[in-house]
Amino acid sequence: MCTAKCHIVPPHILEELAKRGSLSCKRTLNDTGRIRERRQNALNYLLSRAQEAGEGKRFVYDCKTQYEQRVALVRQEGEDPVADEAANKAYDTSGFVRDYFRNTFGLNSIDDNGLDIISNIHYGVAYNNAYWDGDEMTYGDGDGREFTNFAGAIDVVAHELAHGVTQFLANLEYQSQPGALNEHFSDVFGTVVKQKYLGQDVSEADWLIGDSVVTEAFPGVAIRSMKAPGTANDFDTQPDHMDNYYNGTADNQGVHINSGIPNKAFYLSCMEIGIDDCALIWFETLRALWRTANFNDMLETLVNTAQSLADESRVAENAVEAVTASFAQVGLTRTVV
Amino acid sequence: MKYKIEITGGFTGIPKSYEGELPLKGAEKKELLRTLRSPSVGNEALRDGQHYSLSFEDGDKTYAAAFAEHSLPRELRELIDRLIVSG
Repeated sequence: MCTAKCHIVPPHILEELAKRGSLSCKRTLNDTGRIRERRQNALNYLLSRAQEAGEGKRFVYDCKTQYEQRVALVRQEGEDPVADEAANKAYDTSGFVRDYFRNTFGLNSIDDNGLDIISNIHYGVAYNNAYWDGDEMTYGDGDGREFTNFAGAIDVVAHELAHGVTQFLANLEYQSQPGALNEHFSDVFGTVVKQKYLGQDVSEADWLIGDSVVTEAFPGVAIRSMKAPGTANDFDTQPDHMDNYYNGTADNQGVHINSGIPNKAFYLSCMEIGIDDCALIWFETLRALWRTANFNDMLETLVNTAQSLADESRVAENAVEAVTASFAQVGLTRTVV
Repeated sequence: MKYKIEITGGFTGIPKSYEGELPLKGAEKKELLRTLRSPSVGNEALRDGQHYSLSFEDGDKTYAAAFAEHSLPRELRELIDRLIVSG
């Protein structure tokens, strides 16, 4: 006899039992169909909504030192500056990053579909961090002893916003090598945008990440160094070669640690062919990567991308050689199949 | 009871460790132990989140729990603030 348990019975069995005369199974089958139809309609609605492009508008919220996002809206797209300088900084820097991606790669905001850019500032008490939460960015003020306001640093803002770009383009999972690549891409676009923001070229840039969020009391000059991984501060354990690859479990198996290896390769590539060519190669590579891509996948995709772009005369002729040589210097060479 | 708080990961990747004494009464202690077993639900797509490892020694018993940025209960955030800022 068919009871309410029919809800977990596969449809073909329900059909067979209904054919044999079970009214309850027939009713269940019909109900299941209606539920499926409702779900499909809801899904279609969501999909059609998702296709409507946004305008990538900026919204800055003050968390008022609470551990809560979107406590009070303090400035939004098109509005005049406000009294809170941190809000104005977050507004200006997120706009600069958004415009860089749009003007350079034609990317329509973080998701290439005009996603609004939400910044949360003054998060928590003496909070020494900034993060991307899957939808929006959140910045602490720092403790004032070793760290200062994270929302005011162009490379930090670009780094966090780039996590959003990575999520929508490649969705690199956040552990081990795919996680280190996730961090690497954020540092890459953090440093590229910083150099554009400051009007620097590769020879005069400091290649530091987070130098403006550390105080004089901090034992170091920055959080990370693209040029010399492992030297930015007393706690900096980033390797600059596969020989020193971190195999531990901390930090999601070293996502902020092993990113030093491709970071150094990016720096070396930029010194050979310039930061604009490298930014294009890296961005198109990000488009081509996938969730579980590792360092070897990254190198293979970079080389193929560089070759395609060089064939189209969009990057230097020697781009493939430059990228290959840079990665060889950090201990990564292409796998010969 | 003695406490030890370790904060790792995050954008800075710089580990921080805090130790000290936390005087708690019966009800407060019970509430703390309940909170240690009650992670919050948050967005797992979070990037650059910190990791929080907390342990409390009460006589011969040790209570420990680890949280990600998105799963750290608000009560523990506020406790950490109180201990770090006052410490």
